[in-house]
Amino acid sequence: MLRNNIVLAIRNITRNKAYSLLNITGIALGTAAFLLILQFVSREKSFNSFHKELHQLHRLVYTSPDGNSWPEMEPGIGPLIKEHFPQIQDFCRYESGIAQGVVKINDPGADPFRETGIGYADGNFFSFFSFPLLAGKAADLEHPFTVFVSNKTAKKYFGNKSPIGQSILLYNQFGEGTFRVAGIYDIPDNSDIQYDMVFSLATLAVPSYVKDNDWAAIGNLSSQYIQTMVNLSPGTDLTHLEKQLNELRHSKIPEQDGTKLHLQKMSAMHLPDSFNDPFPSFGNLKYVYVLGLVAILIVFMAWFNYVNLSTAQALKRANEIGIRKIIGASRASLIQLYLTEAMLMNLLGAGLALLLVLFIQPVFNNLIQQELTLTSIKWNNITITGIGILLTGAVLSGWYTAMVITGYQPLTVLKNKSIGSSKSSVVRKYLVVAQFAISIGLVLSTFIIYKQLQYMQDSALGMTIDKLLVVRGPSVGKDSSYANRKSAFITGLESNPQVQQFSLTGSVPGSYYNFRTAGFSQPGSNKGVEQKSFAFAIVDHRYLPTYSIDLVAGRNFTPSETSVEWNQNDKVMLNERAVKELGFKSAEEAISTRISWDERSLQVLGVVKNYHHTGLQNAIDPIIFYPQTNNVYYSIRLVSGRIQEQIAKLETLFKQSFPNNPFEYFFADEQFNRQYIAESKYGALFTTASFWAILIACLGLFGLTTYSIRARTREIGIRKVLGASVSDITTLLSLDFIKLVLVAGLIACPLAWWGMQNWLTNFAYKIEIPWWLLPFAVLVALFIAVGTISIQTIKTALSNPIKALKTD
Amino acid sequence: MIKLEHISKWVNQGNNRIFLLKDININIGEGEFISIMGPSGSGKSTLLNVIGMLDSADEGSYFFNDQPVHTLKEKQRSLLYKQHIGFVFQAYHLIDELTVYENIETPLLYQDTKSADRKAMVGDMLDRFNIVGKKDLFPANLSGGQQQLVGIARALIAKPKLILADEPTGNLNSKQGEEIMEIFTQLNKEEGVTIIQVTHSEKNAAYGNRIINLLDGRIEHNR
Repeated sequence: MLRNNIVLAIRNITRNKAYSLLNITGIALGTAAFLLILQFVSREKSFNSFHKELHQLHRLVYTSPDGNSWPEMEPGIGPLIKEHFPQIQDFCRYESGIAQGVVKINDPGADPFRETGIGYADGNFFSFFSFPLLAGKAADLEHPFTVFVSNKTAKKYFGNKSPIGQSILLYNQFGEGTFRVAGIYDIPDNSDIQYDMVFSLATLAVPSYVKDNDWAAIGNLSSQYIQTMVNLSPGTDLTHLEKQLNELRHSKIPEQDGTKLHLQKMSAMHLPDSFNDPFPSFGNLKYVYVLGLVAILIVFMAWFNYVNLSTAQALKRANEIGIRKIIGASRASLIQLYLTEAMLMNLLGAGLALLLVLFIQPVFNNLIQQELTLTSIKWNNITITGIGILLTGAVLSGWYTAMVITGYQPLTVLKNKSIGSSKSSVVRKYLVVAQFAISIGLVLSTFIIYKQLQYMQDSALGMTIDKLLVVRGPSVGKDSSYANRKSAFITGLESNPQVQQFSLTGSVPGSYYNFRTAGFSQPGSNKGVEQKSFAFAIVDHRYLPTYSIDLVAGRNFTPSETSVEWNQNDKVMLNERAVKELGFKSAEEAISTRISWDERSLQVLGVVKNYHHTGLQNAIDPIIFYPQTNNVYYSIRLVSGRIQEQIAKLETLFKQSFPNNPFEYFFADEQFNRQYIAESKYGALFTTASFWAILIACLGLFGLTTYSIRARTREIGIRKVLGASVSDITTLLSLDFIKLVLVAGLIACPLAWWGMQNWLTNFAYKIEIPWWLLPFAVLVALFIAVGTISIQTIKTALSNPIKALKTD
Repeated sequence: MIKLEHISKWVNQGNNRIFLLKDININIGEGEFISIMGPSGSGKSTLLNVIGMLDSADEGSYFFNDQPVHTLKEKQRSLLYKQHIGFVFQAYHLIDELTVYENIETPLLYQDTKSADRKAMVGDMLDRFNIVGKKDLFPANLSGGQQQLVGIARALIAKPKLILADEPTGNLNSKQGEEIMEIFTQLNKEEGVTIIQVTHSEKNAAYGNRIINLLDGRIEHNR
């Protein structure tokens, strides 16, 4: 029987080519989108899963009463808690933030590179975690001045030579260090810890290396700078241990600022278990959910298509069913027959989907900025659920269709009674409405995302950042001649006619602040203001003019004020927001009052007009401007024209003053707009999803129009004979579908509006969704729908009525 | 074999009840060859459908081999007709997607007949109706008469006791029609198959041994 069913299914599929093609293409489009997104979601879920003892690994995380959380611990915490609690089998400390700097191999001709993906880690790093070690002994990382490199980095610095035993120079905030390469490792791409080089943390215990950086002392309990992971005995009661950890911490670090220590499961470090999870995570749970939702909506649309097209075809199949029933077929055997056909159709669709995936993979990867392939689909719960959804959907849509087709009474069918007005045609209407509702929802969301993006990119920032080149300051060669070389560089800039203005700062707009800190107050401020965190920007006297930022009161720093020692300085500027935050009634009041920063007293020289230091997602922070001619960023305003030539000149000057340093630069406006990458990604994603959804919906609509016209051929013929014009007929045929699209609009608009309002709450500065966007999105869908329908309707309307009537 | 007692069937149109069949009483014994005649709309096909259990009466009793059909559930009824009745249609109603061979074989598939037996039985039928050479053709490639032969072969393959034929020659020319009637007579005489046919033609009706004349849903003559 099965063989027979398969033979029949194949005959049916090949006999109704157009219908089968529409159906298979629809399924393929839906399945392809689903598989692409499954790659992403499945990979997100697989992060860190390669660690052998993943379920015992927990990261220590601090939370503060105001809702902030951060994973940086005091370096002394790890050893302290291991000593006190036997459940803590082991710990490992690692951190990238403090290691970043310029790296060079010990060869005079070698190029220096700025490295951000490098870190210091405890000696047990390679036994604690499960990164595959390709060469070297894991225990060698216990020694100071040792480094392990990833195989990719090994190739970058050493080519095909073996790096083992070679020397690497690292220049960062600790100055210069020479490290011996002792091992090579591999880092799976689904790891959140992505270090290109791992330097031994033991090096920070060497006094000649850390010099006067007291904060870095390896056992201290006062500065939070290093992440700490612990390995807990199986069955440890987390809540109880957290309580004990906090008690111990408070006995050692008495200041009670409300900071609490927590244990974050490493398995929830990439994607938290819920939206309420307060801990920092690497992945974006919302993004995963939104993508998952899009995948499910699109694949559902494909099944709706299948159901619609197949039940519409039922008219043709009903006759056959009637005969089969009369000559002895049971309903079950007929259901088997049609289910076989449905499964075959889905199988062909899935095959085509795999081809499509291979074809569109690069486009999709570009869209979500990841390197995915079909092998990114890891065998985990998400994948099993995803494949389960695919199978269930295929079976259910086939099952429903089979039930509808085989449900007709044989006599009704043989008598050629109309079966078009049965229940299934109502269901078809619902499904078309659902398809268009999804499409309209996606289109509307896309419009709103782009409106918001455009709004953020076009808003006045309160500063001027075009034609502003930002060069990364030097890290290598901070010896006795450094001060002179720096002065020479500044003189070089001043004497360069193409440089209009320049500024040396520790922080630039679009690249966050130097740091955030609390402890500020003034005599008239409210209680509790000391707890509030202020942003800290280290700038020189040229910062405000270079960025065209206005002052509302007081004055800018003078050159001499920016060269005062860090701890001797008692002068700052505030922005308007900081003035308000501190409780001053006016900018004038602020410049006539001294403020306190813990035990230090500071004079407010000037009040800076509010400007957007970070993207418009964020409200303007209260900022403290601290005077120093810093080295992190050199912002240089160029004259118009021949930009490349000007940059080349600057590079020569930079290389002369700071040999062995990489010349790295970016344009301030580009860097600033890079903050909107997430939103652009959403925009591109929704554009694609909308396009995809509309394509599937139109395939279905095309099929349905074909069917409904075939069913009404006689009626159309009669109407034409009676004098109906082409446009009368076209309108008649389109009107039914237009009504459905309008109903879809009524459903989709409020839902999409609500969803996007929700999304917009992420932004401190956001658009009001203009009312006309809603009907506009419906209009777009309507336009596309009518276009699709017209292909068929106009053809029918133009045809000779006699032909239609003769066939009767 | 078949006993109809006071069978009536109607539709309601507004307040009027229009009778399709009214108080029909018939007895049909095994081995009879009956022709049902009457003008269009007299209820011939409706009667045939009621006898074939494709349709049910609104009133009256129907006994098939002493089983009260009117009390059976839909499922049991269809089991009964699938076992005992073969249908032949005016429009042949072959399945377009199946070859001649497969069309004839299909009823056996639904009865779970073994593959070897099926082959033999279909082979016999093809021989009997002289259509061996057409077995791999699709219905669309056959003439009307050939299609009806296939239709009859399909109705006979499951060895039914009763054949119901609704104007089996209605779409055929007179020579093809005669052929079909010859086959029916032969089946009736040689194999004792009971046949009930609906027909317009006096000539075809004469092949049977009894004619039932219908007018406006009533039996006018029962010769």
